[in-house]
Amino acid sequence: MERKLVVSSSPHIKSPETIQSIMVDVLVALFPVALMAVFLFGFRALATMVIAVIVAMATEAIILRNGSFFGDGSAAVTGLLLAMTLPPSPPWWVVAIGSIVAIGIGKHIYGGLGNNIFNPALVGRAVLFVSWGTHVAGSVWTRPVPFGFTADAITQASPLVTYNASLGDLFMGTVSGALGETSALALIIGAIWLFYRGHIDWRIPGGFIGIVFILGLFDGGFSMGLYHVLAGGVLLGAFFMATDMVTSPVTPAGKLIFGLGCGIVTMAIRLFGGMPEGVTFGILLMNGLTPLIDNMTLPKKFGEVKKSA
Amino acid sequence: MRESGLRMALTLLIIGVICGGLIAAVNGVTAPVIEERTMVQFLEALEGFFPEVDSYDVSEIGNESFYTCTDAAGNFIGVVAQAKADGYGGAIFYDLAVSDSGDIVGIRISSHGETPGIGDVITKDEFQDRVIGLNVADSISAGVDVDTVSGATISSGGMLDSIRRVMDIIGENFLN
Amino acid sequence: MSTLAQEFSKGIFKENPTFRLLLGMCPTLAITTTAFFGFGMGVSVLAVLLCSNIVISAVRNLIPDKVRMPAYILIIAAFVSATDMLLNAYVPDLHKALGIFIPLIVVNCIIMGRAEAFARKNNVVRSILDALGMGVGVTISLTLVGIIRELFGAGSIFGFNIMGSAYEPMMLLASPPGAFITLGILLGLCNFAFKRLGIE
Repeated sequence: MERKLVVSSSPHIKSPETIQSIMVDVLVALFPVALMAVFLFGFRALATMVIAVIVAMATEAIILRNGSFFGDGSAAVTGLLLAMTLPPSPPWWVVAIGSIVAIGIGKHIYGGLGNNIFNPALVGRAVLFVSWGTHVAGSVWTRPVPFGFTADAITQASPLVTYNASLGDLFMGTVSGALGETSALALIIGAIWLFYRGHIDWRIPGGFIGIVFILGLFDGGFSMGLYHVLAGGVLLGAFFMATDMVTSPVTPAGKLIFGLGCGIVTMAIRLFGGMPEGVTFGILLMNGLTPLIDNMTLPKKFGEVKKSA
Repeated sequence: MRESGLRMALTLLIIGVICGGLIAAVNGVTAPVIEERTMVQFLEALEGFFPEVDSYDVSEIGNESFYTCTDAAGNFIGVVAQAKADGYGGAIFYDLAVSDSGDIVGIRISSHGETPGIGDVITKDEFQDRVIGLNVADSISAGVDVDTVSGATISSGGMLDSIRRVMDIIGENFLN
Repeated sequence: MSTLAQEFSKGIFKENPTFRLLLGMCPTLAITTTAFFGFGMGVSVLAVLLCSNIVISAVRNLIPDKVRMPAYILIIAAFVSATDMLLNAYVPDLHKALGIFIPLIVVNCIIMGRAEAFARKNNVVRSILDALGMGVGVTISLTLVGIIRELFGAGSIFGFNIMGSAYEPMMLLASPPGAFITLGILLGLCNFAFKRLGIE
């Protein structure tokens, strides 16, 4: 939204960061993850990502009617993040509807970038998950074939159902799963870039991953703790989804609470729930609590005294 | 006119009596119609379960009725229970037909308050096919030899619990 | 004093109970999984509303103010029970389809709302027109929500397959969250349309 005159109270700090520069950084950070997805799952994965990104950008351009296809880049990020949560080759219309829902209902119904309550990409995924569960979860995970760009898809159960993948495979990503979630290595490389550019704070991913690891310890010791962190969408969610600036708290303490909450809900769903994976709903639930967390953890103003009741 | 407590009470009393009378009158007209239709439907279902049925005996156990069916030659062919299960939207009333060998041969939901499109799956083949064919000797417990319907765990689970209970009653009282 | 025609038409557009007054949200959200359920619910509400409006406006001067609420509840509950039994006896298919939602008409705010806001202040003729307008408004609204949810959630409208056999139903719209999302989008569209038309 372009305003001619911005009136706000001090302090005024001019930052070289713009929405567009941040979004480009996120796209750069997602590049190794996307590359790994194509490497493991072939051109099907690339097609899924391209459809998601193009439909997301087109939806945004149509809604904003500002004549710019790339815009501030946030639609491209949302589309790509949505693709990262999908299996390698869902039907094209499922991907397209996911992108339309993510941008239209997840973001612009609330008033566009900055006003959305929930992470748009996860809203898209949640709608797909509830509506066409057979296409985006269950028996859709294909076995990764490194360099097998056009190999036939062979389905295989998710490591969160079997619990028998090796930690090495989970780290490299040679397991079945959603496009962007299998390779811990690629996700960590991307996250290092975001840390280096200062776009994400350690508290949200730290709290999220930390509590998943600790709760995982109770599920079967040290290796199980690591397994819970590496398998499924925890790393993708913790580094790229939960850290979304719009839908996560701004206060330092709030960020930590937010991260811990995401991890606890995720583990509760994994260990006690009916679904194998809980990252999506964990983050969405905490998104809803964000304003409350921010309110609770507001730092004291200088000189403020506690009001007596 | 001052609105005294007496007048308020009297007004409510009169309205209550009139309304009660209205309901009683309507009930008097409709109850026989409903009961007759329910019975006709039940007997149709019973004949559907056991086409060779010739006569039946009713026995009450608990609050549920059990119809012992015999064919023309006087042989025992099976039992139909009018039973009740706890669903998500209150009680589910259903008929369960069990053959002389202890197999479930039919199930019919006669009335229920389950959510349309979700819990009412219990009225459909998707659920009923899972139950038909089970034997009194089977464990009939969710996750062991029959699954609840995902999304309708309470409705289908309540049905399974109740079926297990009814099967025990039938096994004890009617099968040898 | 508005004309009699306005008394009827206000319930359909300007004061549509579902989309403008936001009354009776519970049945709107709960039973609109198919167009037929929405329509059946709407007609049942119309019938009860008509009876209760007539009776309440007829006896409006006899009931002491302080006990008017319990009195209305008694009257409405009686009509709902009667409707429930009559449907069960003579239209068993519809009764089976609507199930527990018929007794729930008792707590439908539209009926209580019209009794309180309209029937107790107006004569019988106006109350009848008000009830008809509001009832038709509810029927149209619920049927509309039902059509949308059935079309996308099951691929059919009033049980007739529209989308073809290759269509894969969007389960979200058939499930409870779908009711909230559909209603929310329709409310938004309604507000948008009314703003454009200059009606507040």
